[in-house]
Amino acid sequence: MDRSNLVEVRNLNAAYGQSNVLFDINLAIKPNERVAIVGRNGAGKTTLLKCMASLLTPTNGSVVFDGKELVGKRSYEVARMGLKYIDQDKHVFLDLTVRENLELSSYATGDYDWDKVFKHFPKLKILIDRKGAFLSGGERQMLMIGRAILGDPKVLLIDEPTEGLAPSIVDDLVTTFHELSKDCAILTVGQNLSFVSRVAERIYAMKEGKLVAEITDEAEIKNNSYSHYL
Amino acid sequence: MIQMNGQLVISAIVLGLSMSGVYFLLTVGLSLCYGLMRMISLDQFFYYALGAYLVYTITAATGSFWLGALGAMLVTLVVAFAVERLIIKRVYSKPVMFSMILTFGVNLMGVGLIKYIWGLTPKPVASPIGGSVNILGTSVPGYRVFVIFLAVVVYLAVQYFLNKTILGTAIRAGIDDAEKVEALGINISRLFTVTFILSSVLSALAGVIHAPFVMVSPEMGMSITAFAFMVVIIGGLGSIKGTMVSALIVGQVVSLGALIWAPLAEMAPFLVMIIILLIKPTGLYGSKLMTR
Amino acid sequence: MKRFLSSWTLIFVVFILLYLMKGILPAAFLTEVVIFSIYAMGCSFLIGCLGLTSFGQPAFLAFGAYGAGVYLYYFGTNSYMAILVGILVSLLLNMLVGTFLVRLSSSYFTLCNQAFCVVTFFMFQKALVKWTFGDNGLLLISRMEPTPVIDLTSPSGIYLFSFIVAILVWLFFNYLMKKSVFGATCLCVKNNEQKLRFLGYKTFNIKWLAFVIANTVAGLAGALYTVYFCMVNANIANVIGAADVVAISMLGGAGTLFGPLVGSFLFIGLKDIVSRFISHWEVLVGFLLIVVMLAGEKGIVGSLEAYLEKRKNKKSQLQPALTKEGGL
Repeated sequence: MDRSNLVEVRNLNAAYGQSNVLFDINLAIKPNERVAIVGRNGAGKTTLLKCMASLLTPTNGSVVFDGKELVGKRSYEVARMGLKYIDQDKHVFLDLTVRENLELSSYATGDYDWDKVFKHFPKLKILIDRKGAFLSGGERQMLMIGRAILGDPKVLLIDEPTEGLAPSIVDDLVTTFHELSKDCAILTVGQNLSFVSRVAERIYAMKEGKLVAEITDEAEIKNNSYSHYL
Repeated sequence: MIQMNGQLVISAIVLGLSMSGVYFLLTVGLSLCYGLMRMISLDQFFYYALGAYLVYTITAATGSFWLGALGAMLVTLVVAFAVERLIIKRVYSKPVMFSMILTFGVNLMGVGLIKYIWGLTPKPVASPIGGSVNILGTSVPGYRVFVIFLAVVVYLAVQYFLNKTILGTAIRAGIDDAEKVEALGINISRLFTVTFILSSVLSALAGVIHAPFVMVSPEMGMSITAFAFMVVIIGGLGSIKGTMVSALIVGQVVSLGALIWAPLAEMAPFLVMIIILLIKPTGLYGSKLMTR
Repeated sequence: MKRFLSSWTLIFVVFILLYLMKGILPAAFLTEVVIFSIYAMGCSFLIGCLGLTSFGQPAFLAFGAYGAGVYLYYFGTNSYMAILVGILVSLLLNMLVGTFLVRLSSSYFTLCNQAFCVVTFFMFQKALVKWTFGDNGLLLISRMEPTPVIDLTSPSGIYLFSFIVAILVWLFFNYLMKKSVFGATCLCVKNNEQKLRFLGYKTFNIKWLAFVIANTVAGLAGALYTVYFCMVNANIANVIGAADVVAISMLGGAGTLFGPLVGSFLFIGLKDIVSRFISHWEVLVGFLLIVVMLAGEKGIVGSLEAYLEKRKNKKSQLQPALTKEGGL
């Protein structure tokens, strides 16, 4: 194991019933790094993230975070260790207010310093008493990330962050990602190549359950020339 | 047809309200368990009967109904905790039908144990509050009024718990999306345990307060099952307010129906249920979101 | 060898063997096992093939039982006719009741069935007591006359007849569950009803038909019970009995062909033995249900079938649907 890696995924395989979805995935994330995985629908990106966060159980392989093996742990244990998963469905708890959403996260992590959340998302302070059901897509995304950063996680796994969001919100998200990565590493997954090119320092291309390429060259990232791998 | 005079009607309404109280206490547990754990916990009827039997025994031994009530709830708490840890927790991720049959089995086993420990003869439990209260010119048993009062207090307490405490907030969130609650870092199986125990204690309380109305018998769980189901079906599984409204409806239908034609008491809720389900097959409030 | 062991022949083999055990096991026990297994077959079909659990089966048993009983008490003396009447009454009532119950989603279906059974029990016990005599019931011994061909009033007659009926029921269900398109459609309903509806199937009709079939078979069992016991009383509709039939279905294996028979045999046997030591059989039934569900809900025959299926697959070296190169 390369000690400089914060997260290492080794030979990860996963299946839904008889249907294999992930094949021998190997990847690494360094502290404060912004990494992206891009691939088409059905390539297995969400499955990979969920396996890393212990929301799904892989058939074999290992996920090592901060020197500790994650496979076999419950997802709440993984979250408390500092690896948080943010789902693409933008589902904040509908009956709970923004305040209650944050309270839940504070209760789980013991971190009641909400200022760091409002520093990134000042709008949440205004919406503090609004119920989840009445938030817009962009506001929900803010809340999902906001409540995840309580507890000072070291890694955020963010699934399809730009899905269904207006372009101006996406622009804000780019800034947010850069700001967030000062405190933690971000692994994001998606199909929005333009967003990825503005955010990622390193990109994995994923096709049909396998990682087919790793792009580290800045120029290649910027001009999306890796898209042929997909 | 019985002559409907004002006093009879008021008496029936009060009776209906007190029955609603019992129904509510019994079904709020069912509703919570379904909302959070997606399981239909049929063993709640066992805890109901257990509560009634325990209050009988403890009251007989100590002479105090209140001590009996407290003891009944505490013992049921322990029993429910054991059942949840040993049996129920293994099936949380399974489909609803699975937990239904399983908890049906627990209920059955429980009834068998009750028969073994206490025998088959029905036991009487004296009403802890005697005397009557005058409501709108009608003399109504004081105990019935107390039951109504208690049910209201419990309803308010449950609402407070769900809306103003962090545990209650976590439960509400879990009803919405249990996986996400766990992903936030909360130990969801502890939440399940707490919810299950809370439901069971409330069911036991239902048994405790119902005991003075009826003879405590091994079949009492079975007898009340149909009514509890009707409350749950009319009100929809997963809504506290729906459960309360529905309990009120069923209680009144039973008591006022009995005034008109005695057998109607047994049949009426069933008829109401059929009518409502014909119009809306998921019940009046049938949604999986726990509303206030 | 394979043709010999086809399910059709197996049905005959199993029942004939069982019939011949009259010397070893008491005939009364075997008759009860067979009749109960017919009752359980309907329940097992509903649970296993449609995913509809009913805690109200005694109501449907009672329809057939009372149909036959009322006929024998008030109208005629021929047991064959009684059984026919029982089946018809059961059929008509099931068709009616089905239209209400089947439209419900599975959990509500289960709850409503139980509530319906409670109401039915109440009807037979109290509301209709003028005709049914409630708990005392209708005593029919004096009202039944010997029947031609097979005398249903004699123990050996009803014994033989039950076996014949069972064989017919089993042949019917073998066709229904394994060979018919209807059976396959039912499994689809169990698996993903919404998808089936999108494909254009009227799932309500499918469920309704399956409901009517299963519960009329239960009614047939009820009619047989009446003729066998020469009486019928309200207790047959008691919702407590729902536990027995569900337990048997799950124990044997819901949706399997021989599950109901295996379950019935074991359950009634166990109950007979255990009730000599413990007076409250509910503990046993409940315990069995818990054990079966915790062990994976397949039941005895179900687990056996799954095991055999696994061995068959290993033998033929089935290639995985996806190769490593092709991916998804």
